[in-house]
Amino acid sequence: MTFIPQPSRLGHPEHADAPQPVSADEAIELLLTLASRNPHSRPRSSAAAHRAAALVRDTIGGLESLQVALTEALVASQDRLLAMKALAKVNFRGLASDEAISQLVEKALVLTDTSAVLLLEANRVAAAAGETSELETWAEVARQGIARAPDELLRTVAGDSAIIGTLDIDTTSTWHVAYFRPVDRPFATTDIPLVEAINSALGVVLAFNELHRREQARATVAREHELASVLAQSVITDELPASETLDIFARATPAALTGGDFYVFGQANDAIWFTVGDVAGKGLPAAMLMTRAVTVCRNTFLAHRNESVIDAFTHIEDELFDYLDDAGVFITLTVGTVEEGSGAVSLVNAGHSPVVYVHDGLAHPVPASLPPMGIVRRRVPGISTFTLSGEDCLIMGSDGLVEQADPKDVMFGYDRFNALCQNTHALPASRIGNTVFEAVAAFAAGTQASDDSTLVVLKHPGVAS
Amino acid sequence: MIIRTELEPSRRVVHLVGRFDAHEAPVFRDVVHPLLTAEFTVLHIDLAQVAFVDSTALSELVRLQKAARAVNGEVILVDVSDPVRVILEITELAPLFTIEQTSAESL
Repeated sequence: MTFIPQPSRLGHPEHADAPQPVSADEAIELLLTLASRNPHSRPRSSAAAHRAAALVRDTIGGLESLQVALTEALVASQDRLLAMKALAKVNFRGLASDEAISQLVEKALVLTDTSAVLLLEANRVAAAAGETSELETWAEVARQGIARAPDELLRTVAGDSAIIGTLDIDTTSTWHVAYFRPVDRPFATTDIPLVEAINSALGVVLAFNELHRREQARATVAREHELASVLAQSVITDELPASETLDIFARATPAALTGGDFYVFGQANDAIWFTVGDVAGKGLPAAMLMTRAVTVCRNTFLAHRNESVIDAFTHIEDELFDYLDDAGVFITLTVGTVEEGSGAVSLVNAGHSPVVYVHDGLAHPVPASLPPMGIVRRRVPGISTFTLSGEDCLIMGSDGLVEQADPKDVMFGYDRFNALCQNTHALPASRIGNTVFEAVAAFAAGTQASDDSTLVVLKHPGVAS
Repeated sequence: MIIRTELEPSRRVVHLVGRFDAHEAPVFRDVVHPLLTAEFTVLHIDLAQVAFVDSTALSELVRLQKAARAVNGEVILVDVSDPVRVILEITELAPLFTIEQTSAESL
């Protein structure tokens, strides 16, 4: 630092011709000269003046050293600021990628002016930049440094020629970054903010990478779930049994991709087997049980086609009960036959609703005669029997229809359902079915269905509709 | 749905308020099932303020009843609201439970 004293505005007249000092040393020498010329000064005063001059020189020297240190610090600070800006401007092509990580490690090497940078996942080198010929040696130095201070976020080793940082991120692995410099150019305290900033940036990229991997895994599961749901739902066939005398409608609409509602038909000698069921529960688990129930019903209708309704029901129960008991769920189920010739219906209702028989224009709910399947084994079911003729019809729905809510959270309900059955019973089966679905949808007024909706309509007009 | 439990020295009572459906079933299972222990084999479920139960909820009650029976206990449904009573009757599940009608004060 150069100290330039300000010239006095009140300069003494007798010193007007004296040489003007241009440096602190010249100023001090001038003061000493002036002091020695003073006729009143004594020898002791002259010595004191020299001591004062020495003190002033020391002070100025200290200030000059301080100025140099401040300048260096300012330059270093500016360098770090520029490095931080450069770090912030790193443009990743795809943030959540291994390429972005390698790119950032390369950048870290340049920004920290190091010989090598290692990124370690657990104890394995996941990425490296710089002089990689000594990679294994450096990796071992890093591993030992981490082992000595496992809980530290930053640790210096090898005489401060290496810094190892722990990345504080929520991933399945532990991550560390190690920076290496030659031993004659060790790291200083001033390097730490930049190292921390780079570690933070690496942590963000690694966390994004982990999130990306998790999202990919989740998407894979979702795709498999969707495929399983489609497969499960496909067991419900749209093909209705062919009959010269019966008029049949059937539709199952899952609330989500798939559900627990189902219907199954089977052909017997001069009769049609039918079942309408609902597995308690939602989603894929219910759908898996539903596919099992459909298979069991279908097989029962094939293998026991000419047996009684009670026997068929018992076969189905025997096949499903343990399965349901283990899963802790039940199935509401209506199983029955309708004679193609007479229209005579026999059915067992195990906790299923709504089941409505419309006869002579009046709706009669067909009550359950035993609890849903899967709760109590081998209880002898009661049988409901009646005959479909003329405009009579049997309408078997699922609770998703009657429990459909409107925007004010009012349910469609059994009364509306029964009235709808009564009002539409004279229509062909398909028109009854479509009208019921349309009426429920209109009632919902956009309110999302919370459960599957299934409807089977049987009529026996005597001739095919 | 709100689930409030009363753990008394002599008995355990669970009060349910609101809609009991598939969305509430997991919480019900987590909260209520552990209340059945070797010491407390009888659970009282207060259904007075339950406005709706769906088949998944019924399935949870049946599952709880099975667990209680397995330890020689039972689930007692108390003050069953009309909507729940109708569903229990339609599905023929009512006979599986002891149903008690009692004054609110006694709970």
